[in-house]
Amino acid sequence: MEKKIKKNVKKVTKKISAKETGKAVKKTAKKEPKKDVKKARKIKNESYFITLLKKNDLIFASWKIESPLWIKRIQTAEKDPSNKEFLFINVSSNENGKYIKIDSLPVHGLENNWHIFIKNEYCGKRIICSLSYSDKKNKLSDILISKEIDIPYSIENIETGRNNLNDKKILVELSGIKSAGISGSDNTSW
Amino acid sequence: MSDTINAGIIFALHAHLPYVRIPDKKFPLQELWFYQALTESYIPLILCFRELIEEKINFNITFSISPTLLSMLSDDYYKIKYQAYLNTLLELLKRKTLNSDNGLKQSLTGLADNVQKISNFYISVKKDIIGELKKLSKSGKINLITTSATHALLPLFRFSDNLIRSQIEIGQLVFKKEFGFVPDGFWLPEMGYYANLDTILDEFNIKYTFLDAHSVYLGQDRPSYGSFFPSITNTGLKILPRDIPLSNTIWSARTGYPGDYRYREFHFDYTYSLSESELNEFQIDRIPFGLKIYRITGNDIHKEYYNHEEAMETVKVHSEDFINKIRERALLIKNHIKRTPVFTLPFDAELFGHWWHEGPEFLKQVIKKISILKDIALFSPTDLRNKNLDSVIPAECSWGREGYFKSWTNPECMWIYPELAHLDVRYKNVISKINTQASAQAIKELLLASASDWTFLISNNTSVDYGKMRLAEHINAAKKIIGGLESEITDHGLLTERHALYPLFDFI
Repeated sequence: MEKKIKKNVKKVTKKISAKETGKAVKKTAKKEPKKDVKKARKIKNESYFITLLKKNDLIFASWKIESPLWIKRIQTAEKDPSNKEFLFINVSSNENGKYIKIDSLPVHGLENNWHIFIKNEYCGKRIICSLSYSDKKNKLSDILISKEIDIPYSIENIETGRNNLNDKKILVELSGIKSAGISGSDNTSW
Repeated sequence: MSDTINAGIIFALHAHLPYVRIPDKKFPLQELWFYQALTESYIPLILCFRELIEEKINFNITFSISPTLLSMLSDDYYKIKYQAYLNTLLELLKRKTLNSDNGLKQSLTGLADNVQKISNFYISVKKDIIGELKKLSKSGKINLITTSATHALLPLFRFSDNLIRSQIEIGQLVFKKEFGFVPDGFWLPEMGYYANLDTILDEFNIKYTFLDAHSVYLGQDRPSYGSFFPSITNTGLKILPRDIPLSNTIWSARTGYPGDYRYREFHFDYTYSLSESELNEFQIDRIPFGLKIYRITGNDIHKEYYNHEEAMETVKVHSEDFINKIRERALLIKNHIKRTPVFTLPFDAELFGHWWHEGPEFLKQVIKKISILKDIALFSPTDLRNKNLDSVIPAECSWGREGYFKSWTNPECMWIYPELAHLDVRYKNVISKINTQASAQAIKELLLASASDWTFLISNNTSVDYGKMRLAEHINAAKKIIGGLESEITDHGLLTERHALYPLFDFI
């Protein structure tokens, strides 16, 4: 089992490095029946997967899947109470150009947006999210991939020295970012 | 940097207003934003800079001006309506002065003199504000820069390289069209930064930008001196981090100078006290028309009349106090970073004059005082050489509430991002289908829908309906036009109507 997951992670990593951001992955489309492939090619570019950092502890994700095959698979799986197929948002971090999976969040298959709560292990990392489908055999396929996000450290990370800021704690104190609730400019804009 | 200098200051002002145009109304509220910002901020700031140059004061200020604001400044439609606004305001003040007692009369007369001065200036420069900015730029004292085309908060559009690049490119083109050159600097709307943005900015030869202080502490790589000196990213983008404590001395509504009881009150407008017949006669609505005649006085609703002389005396005290605060802060910081700190102080330009009436005078006095000091110096962003800067990978950030993007991602406006992502994908699919007029209008609608202003209005509960209306209007127009491109049917009537309604960026 562990071997299988590792294999899947490797596959995901390979696909992400291919910079297929925001697009349906070609390899998956190849396996579709001929008719569906044609349809998918016609409309696949209308798919999108966006991730937005809303706050330092929250990412908003939203997607649109245009491939009829994927839509059908997800809908069928959702209707079957005994199904073992799931839609996931996988969170991977960019470690010097290699993507390492750090989290996997199951997503309700009929949804098209999700809030991702930022965990400590995301902080200080450049992450990428992929909307992935895990079938009955735990075979993982990426459907869509987002753009990268630099997850900021939090004030708590500074307090605990998590971001190696020990030598700069005093500068952080003097900068005013803590007393201002990070930013003091509530008066921005006209 | 000279050995005698203990502190460097980089001042930056960012002037921006959303593109609003409501031809069927004489003085709609949304256009009044522009007319009042001209009267209270932009023209007073130009006069302040002119005076400093005439007095041969050595100074440098970075002045960012948004493409939407430039478009309005160059358009005859606004020039005519702005002159009509000034004339109406003067006529109204004249009428009210005749029938007023001493305190009110003095306050109204003071305001009328001020408005007359602005009107005389506007006529003397033949309504050419951009021409005046050009002259300031040529003096070398004012360092003009640009921002994204419609003031889109770029991190929220990271899903579309196409939209991001259009925002930057059109921002630079509008600037070049008016001023004849492309500036080195770029103001990121709301100081919004996200992963890899420096790489895109580098494609456009952008050399520096301004970010909030936490961007240099909470990212993956930090400069040894924190936010007290500019730093540089891998692509060579200079980051100028805002100094929060010094900024707040000027900016904070609660503890900053502008809240002093002797300064002019912003919120209470005498228009609310006019009779219905007066409003009808002057064809104005009961909305703040710019009749600001009170001083802040206190926290309750009782307001006393504004006393100009008293306010000017207070400016003297506050400008001196600000110099002392810079000095104290520099001494404190220098001990910890082993170099002379350079504090970056970026503000919305409208703070000086519009929100804080006495702001331009304060700025002038601070600059004059610094110019004769040996221990404090004003710098431009390009004065500090890159080789002396530590590297940084900035954290994603903005200078908005809580430091990120909360103000623009309110649940009520989140729907626009998936909508725009989908429209952007559809637009990219049809862009190759040659129909210049339709594709130009489509990108214009997408750009206008991406303005940070509409979501900000909704989140801040001010002009919510107008913000919602503009979002819906541009998104619907983009849908229709892109739909037309997809089906290869052009609705020329729609294109003409849309262009007539918002005739900006006509070179696209």
